[in-house]
Amino acid sequence: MLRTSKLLLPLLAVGVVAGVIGVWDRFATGERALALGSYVPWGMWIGLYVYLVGVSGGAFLVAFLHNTLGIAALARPARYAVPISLVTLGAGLFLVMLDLGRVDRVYELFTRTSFSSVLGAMIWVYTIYGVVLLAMLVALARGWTAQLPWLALSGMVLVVTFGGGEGALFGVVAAKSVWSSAILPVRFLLSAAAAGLALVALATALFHRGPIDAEDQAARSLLRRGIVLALGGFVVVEFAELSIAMYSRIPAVVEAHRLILFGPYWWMFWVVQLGLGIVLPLALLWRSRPGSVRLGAAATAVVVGLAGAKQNIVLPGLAIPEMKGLPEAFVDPRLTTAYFPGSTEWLVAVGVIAAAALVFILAVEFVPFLRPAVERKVAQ
Amino acid sequence: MAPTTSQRLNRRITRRRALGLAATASALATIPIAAPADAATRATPLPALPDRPSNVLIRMQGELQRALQKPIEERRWAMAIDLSKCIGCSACTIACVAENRLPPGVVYRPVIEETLGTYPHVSRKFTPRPCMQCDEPPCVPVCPVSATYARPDGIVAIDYDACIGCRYCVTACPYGARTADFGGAYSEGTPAVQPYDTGKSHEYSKTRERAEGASPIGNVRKCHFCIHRVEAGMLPACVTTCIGGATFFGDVNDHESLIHELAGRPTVSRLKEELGTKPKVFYVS
Repeated sequence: MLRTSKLLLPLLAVGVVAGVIGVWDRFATGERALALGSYVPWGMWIGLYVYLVGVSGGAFLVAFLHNTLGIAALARPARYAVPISLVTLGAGLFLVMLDLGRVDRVYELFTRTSFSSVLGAMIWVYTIYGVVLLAMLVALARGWTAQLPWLALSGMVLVVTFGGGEGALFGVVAAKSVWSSAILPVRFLLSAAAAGLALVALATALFHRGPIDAEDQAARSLLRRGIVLALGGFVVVEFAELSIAMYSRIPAVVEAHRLILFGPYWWMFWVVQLGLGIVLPLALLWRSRPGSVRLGAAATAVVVGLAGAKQNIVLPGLAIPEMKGLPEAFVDPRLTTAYFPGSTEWLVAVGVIAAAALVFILAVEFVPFLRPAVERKVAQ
Repeated sequence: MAPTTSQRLNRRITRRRALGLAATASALATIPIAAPADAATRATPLPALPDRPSNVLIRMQGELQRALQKPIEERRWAMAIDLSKCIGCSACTIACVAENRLPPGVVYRPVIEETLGTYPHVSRKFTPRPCMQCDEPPCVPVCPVSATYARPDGIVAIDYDACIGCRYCVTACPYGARTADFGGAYSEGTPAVQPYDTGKSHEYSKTRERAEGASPIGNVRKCHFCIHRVEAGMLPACVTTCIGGATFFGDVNDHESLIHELAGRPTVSRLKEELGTKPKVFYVS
């Protein structure tokens, strides 16, 4: 077992225990344990759900580039991409399931789906995508290389569908001026690509066995370029969104964006999203041929920073009351636009992410076909 | 300065009218509140009403009974609120909470208060905000399981037995008219949960005990114009309890009705009309 794995596993186990406590609390006390209300009905879990599912799609991009487009240099990271996609998809969907007021009726999403709802349609896309991922795992295990290009292609079509669909999930809500934007699906796709590529790069840097050879360098160089390109695109779209909104001078639109930039959680935009998610990784990846430490640090910064970016879409959109004076009209802790995640939300969030990471590490440590071929030899 | 005779007379008339309205309201409000519209209730004959009532509540009650004779798809329930008459007492809000057994954090009809102008020309504006029962409701298409839907009579309803509590509709409502039931109780944290927290509700003409794990806990909830009362021949609770006589209700498809008359006034407005949601709550000023 790698030293990194030995170091991470106990920490992740603690995280999972915290998550179990959180999940127990969620079921024992119902939704009363959540800090949500009717004016902020979605919180950290929804922000993380859209982020993790997006990361799943972004990571899958690596599998697609290798298996379908035949980019040989990505052969090693592509092995990590499929399990990463699977665990992040599972983590995201588990969070959104826990967020339901009636978890016992989750099956209704399949039995009485309304396809006029973006959310209703997405459930089926996620499900088919999950099946494709499982099929890819089977194909990798059995060595069915002929099936991989088609599976990766169909998976990529689904990734683009739900990646953009997540943006549409918010974009179609005309009631929220900050969400109602046609560019939102593009923004979601670009941030998903950047975060997904970054997570694969992080796994490549952390779980590499043996000396770094020319193929590793080529893979890292491609991942580096991919991350920089996706981040660059994300910055352009983000700037377009913010500048157009601020120049519009429409108070409802400006107010929400002003909240993002200068509200109580200003640090989420300037420090986490911009500083950690964009500026720091771009600075670290500016030079070509990044080493394991530089690549790992840059990838971690992207993964954390862009998680903040998703929270910055969900929460400020809800922080502006639909009607002026509404939160004051009937005073109740659940009828306010102020929100900060409660302890249950934190515990579950930490636990779910820890569980996803734990499953991935155990998979790459103990499931030989999930390791790049060259590393299997080193491990032996 | 002492009031003049005419001022005293006006005040007396106003007081008399107010007392009259309050008496009528209490009489209407005591008609079995929250009785489900089951066969037994419908079989009970309602009191005969005068042909030409001078009181708007009596008139609306008669029009309501007339509308109930029509097939459901020919009715179009609507509400009008005269903002010049609303005094911001929140009686409608409280009546709604009592009628629908709303738990903490769930409100169907808050009254939004605003201060207009600057000294010395200052006034208060009160805007009750029920569900708008939009003809083009943005909350309906977003529901992933079709648990929220528009009834043939125009009421936007929620099927509590189908709602999964995803709260997507809450985000989609431009009026903030939907609230989520997180399962709270007013007597939570006290030695015992009190009966007023566990009492039966009759929303959508279905009697429900409030219990852990049972709907509507975990569901999204909203104003439904007290459709359980309406279908039993009674006006919504907010209408009968409005002290200022500011809230009107009826079938807007009935051209002889008061609601049709009010909805056609040139001074009428609807909230966020520019969105094209076609609300069926008309504000008269």
